[in-house]
Amino acid sequence: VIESLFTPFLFQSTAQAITPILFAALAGVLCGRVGVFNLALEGQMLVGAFAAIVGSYFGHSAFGGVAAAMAATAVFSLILGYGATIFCGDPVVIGIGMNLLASGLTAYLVRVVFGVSDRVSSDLG
Amino acid sequence: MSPFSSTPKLGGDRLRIPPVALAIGFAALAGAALILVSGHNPLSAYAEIVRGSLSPGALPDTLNWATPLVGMTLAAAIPLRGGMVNLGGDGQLVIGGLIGALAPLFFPGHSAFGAAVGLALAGLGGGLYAALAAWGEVRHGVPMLISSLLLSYPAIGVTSYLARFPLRNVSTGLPQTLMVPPDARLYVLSGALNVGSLLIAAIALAVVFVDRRTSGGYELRQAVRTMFASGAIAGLVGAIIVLGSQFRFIDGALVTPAYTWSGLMAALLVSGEPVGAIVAALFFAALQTGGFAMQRETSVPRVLTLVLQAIVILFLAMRRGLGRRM
Repeated sequence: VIESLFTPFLFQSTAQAITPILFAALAGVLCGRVGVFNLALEGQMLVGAFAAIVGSYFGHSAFGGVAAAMAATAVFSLILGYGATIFCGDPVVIGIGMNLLASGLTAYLVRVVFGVSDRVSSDLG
Repeated sequence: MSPFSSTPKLGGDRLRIPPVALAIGFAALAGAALILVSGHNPLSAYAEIVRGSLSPGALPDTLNWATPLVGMTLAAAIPLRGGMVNLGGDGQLVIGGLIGALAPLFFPGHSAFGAAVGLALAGLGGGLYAALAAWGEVRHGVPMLISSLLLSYPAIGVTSYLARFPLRNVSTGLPQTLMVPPDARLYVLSGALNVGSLLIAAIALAVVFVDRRTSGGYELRQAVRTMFASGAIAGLVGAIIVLGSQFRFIDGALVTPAYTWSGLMAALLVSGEPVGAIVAALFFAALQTGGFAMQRETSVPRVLTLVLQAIVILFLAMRRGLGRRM
């Protein structure tokens, strides 16, 4: 059983599975170093995913998608950046609020931009 | 960060009216911009939200939608009063829901009794599960902020497994348990409203009373008991949804509408002050119910109400901080 477990496929899929977790963890650590508890990672990833689709669809390239995702998420993250420092809001409240905003905004815009609806977003409370 | 902008603690002054009005106004403006982008008329969309939530015909729907939301808000507010955070509402909700769906099946013929047992056991189950997180913190120093959230996942996983395999109703293609017998369902008051709403209203009154008038309100720091009360309400909400509207445990149906997170937001906005939290929960419920009418009548997607809700939350979170600094 052990031999059949340790195949090249295992290492490949592990590397694949670790990528989003590793990047999210890195982002969380970065915020943790400056004393802001980043609960909004989920929302930030959601905004990035949506912007990547919009960017690659209208830019006709994967690179355009990545660039759009980074730009959009950086702007979106300003809410946490300014909110938790200059406006001294509670990072936990802002983080959960941003997650809610991201799930609502992306589900709204995906309908407006692409004219489609997915079941998950229409089920969201 | 300068000492003046240090992270504000949860708890503190109560919400004043002007910031709330400002926040709602700001959210309405931002929402109007989004509606314009989609090529609809913001005014008619907002009129539909108000009519679809507050008109006499729609009011029972709003109250029915508010029932779980107010319940989960109370579940979040009680620990906040004692300086704790219960992030595990989803886990306690599904435990209560599953117990509520199963208990009547064990008492065939005495179904009303079965429903009562189900509600009681659901509260007990949710409460004990939440108390586990508190016990972990008091006895073993495991931070409750993390453990309460992490305990949610095994609860969701196990109930999902039970609904998909051993307890599944094989005559349907969906991951759900057997139907609750009709006489074990909660008594319907009018339209969508059932006895569960009265139960939650009674609990809300009790929480406000305990918080205001008794010494128990001051003793909230007793972590295990507080978390038991919080989890018990969450479990009860699960059973009320199952016995009052869904009539069976459906995998994912309690977690997907994000009652826990909306409730937590409503409670966090007023740092757990029960009356304010209930008002915030009612407002969110009206917004979400009105969203259905808006989507039906003007074809503006109803997730817009989620955006409005999030903007109100974000604005208030920052406005409070701004006010404190000046």
